[in-house]
Amino acid sequence: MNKLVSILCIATLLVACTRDKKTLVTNAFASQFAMPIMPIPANNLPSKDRIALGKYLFYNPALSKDSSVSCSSCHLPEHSFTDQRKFSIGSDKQLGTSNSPSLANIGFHPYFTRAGGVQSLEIQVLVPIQEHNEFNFNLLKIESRLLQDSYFKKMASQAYPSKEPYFAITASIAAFERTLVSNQSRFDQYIQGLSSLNEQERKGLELFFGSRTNCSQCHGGFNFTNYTFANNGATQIKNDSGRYQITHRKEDIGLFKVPSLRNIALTAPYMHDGSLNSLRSVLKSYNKGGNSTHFNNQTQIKKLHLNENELAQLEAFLHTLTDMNFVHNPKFKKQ
Amino acid sequence: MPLQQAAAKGNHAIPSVVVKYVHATAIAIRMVANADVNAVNKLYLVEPFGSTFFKTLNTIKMKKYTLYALILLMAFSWFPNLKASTNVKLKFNHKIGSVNYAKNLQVKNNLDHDYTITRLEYYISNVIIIHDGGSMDTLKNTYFLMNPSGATETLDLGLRSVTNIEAIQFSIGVDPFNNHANPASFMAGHPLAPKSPSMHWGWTSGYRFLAIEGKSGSSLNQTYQLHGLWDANYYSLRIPVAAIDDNGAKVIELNADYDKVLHDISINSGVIAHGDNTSDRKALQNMRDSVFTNTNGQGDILSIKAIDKSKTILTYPNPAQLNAQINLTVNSTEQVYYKVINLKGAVIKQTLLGTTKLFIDKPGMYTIQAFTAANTLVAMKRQIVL
Repeated sequence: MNKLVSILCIATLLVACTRDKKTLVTNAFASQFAMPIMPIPANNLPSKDRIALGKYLFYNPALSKDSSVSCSSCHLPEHSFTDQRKFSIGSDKQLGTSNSPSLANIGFHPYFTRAGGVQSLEIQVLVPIQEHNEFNFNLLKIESRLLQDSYFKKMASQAYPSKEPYFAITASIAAFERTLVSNQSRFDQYIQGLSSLNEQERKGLELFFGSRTNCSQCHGGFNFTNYTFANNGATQIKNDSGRYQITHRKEDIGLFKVPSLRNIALTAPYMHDGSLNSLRSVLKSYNKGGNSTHFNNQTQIKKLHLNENELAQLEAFLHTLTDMNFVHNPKFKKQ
Repeated sequence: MPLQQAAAKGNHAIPSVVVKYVHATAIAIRMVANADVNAVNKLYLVEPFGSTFFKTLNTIKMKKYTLYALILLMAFSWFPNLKASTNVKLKFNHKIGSVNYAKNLQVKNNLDHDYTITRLEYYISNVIIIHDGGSMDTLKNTYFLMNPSGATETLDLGLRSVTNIEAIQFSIGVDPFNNHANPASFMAGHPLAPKSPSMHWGWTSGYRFLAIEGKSGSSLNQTYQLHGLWDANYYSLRIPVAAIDDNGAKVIELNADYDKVLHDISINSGVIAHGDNTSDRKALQNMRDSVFTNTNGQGDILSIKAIDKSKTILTYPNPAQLNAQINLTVNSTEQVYYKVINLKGAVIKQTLLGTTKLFIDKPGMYTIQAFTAANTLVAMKRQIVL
């Protein structure tokens, strides 16, 4: 009997060890996904009032010229703050020129917009305000409109005493956006040893971080982006030369900011031009070496020779980057 | 005993510079005692450590009680308002060709293209008064948003320590440091604060240096909009001037002929150029080269009119990781050194001449500027450190 118990114990231990091995990740691997310190300007440290005001304004269509769209029109929480459209629709129903980017973990980004011309979230707020196909408006006119709003007046003076109301508009929206932190996906739990991935997902992970695909060369780190500018072989938009608009250097034509892949399964359509409708179509595009050739194509863009099963594995892994706690967080939604 | 000698022989050696400074202050005291206010003013207009000056000073004998007064006066003498100060003004005569400037005036440019101006706004910054044998008085952190509406406009440059003004230098636009500041961080009324219509382009995170808009074409049924921007287009110009004394103020007078903004720009069919470095940049170059003249018709004399756009800095990698080596290359035959400037405009690092690499130990966005040994700015480049 004692022998039987001993054998059972050893067998149980072996099974347990085998299961542990499946979820085991090295510290070195896990460390690259550690949440970095978010840079926050000294004059806009977060407070309850600032975040509340920012959220109020984020959902407020008074920011657009015809009062028809707000930040939330193109950045919906349930889609990781994107809008499922190829191009967003702005004030006076004007069509945008590039696909709405996700705001998940936007506070960690070192610069903003796909062309990379903006250095802070506070300044970034000015971009949609003025763009003709977004809010098509002016900060002072928004301020004038909002000063008729007693809630705004009260909150702005509470949150930013002695500051101009227009400062409160840009700063509070930035303060709210910095709260949009997504770090509770199944992948995050997996690297913390709190959850496991199934076999297909694990094989997808290996492909993603492996040399056959080199996905992680551009989409590595906590936010699954290295924040560089790249041409990935997506179709070209005639009037959008990307990074070139800022630098006016030929080598920057057609280069766009490498996007984060967090919650990527929720942010279709894909690419800066919204030209690909599904994750599988994105993977297929990469598998064949891009959808178009461009003189500034990244050297990594080449045929991957993945079979259908491997594409499915990669897709399964990308789904593990979905953070349902983030997209259903009531703190981010309009009340 | 002359103070210089006293200092040399004393137990506590006094640095010679201090001794010289005390000498200068001593003569000021004697002038005050003689109620010679004009002489006191002149004190600050002579070369303080010139040989003739000290020849005179060395003959002055020190008395014990004078020393305490000197120390007190030395402290006061640091305040600039004790210096000879004159209110300086910069007057613009706004013109279109030979007539006074007015909005909506129908005129023709040098290509015989009809046009009107409905909006004309531009920034003036980095104003430098060149005076008294080439001395330069820079108006730091001073910006003027020009929005001509009548025939003349006068800017108050404040109280300046100048006697003979020889030239005026200024730049069109906003310097690279404040060009990328957050407009909302400036208090209302500041030239760089938000405006309506806006002088700031969000997507470039920078200011419009010049915004000129209007109607064009023979029937004036076309629209043109030229918005010149970008750090590389931040041009400076220097114009020789002779200030006029006017009720105790010195007035520098310039003519600004805005017809020349559109010289050699085809506008007949309308043109929209918002920072795309086509006709918008040409308009900025025209502002530098031909719009502003003195009352004798003389324009810019600044030898270096702009950063040579054929010169660029290549940095690799960009973005770079924290503390990683950043390799620098400039396509210039001259050796250069680099300054690394943060978003607040502070120089956080300066390399030696000939350096080809550097390290940055704080994450952020920086401007790297390349200078020749003669301190001429050759090229600029944005660098991101993660």
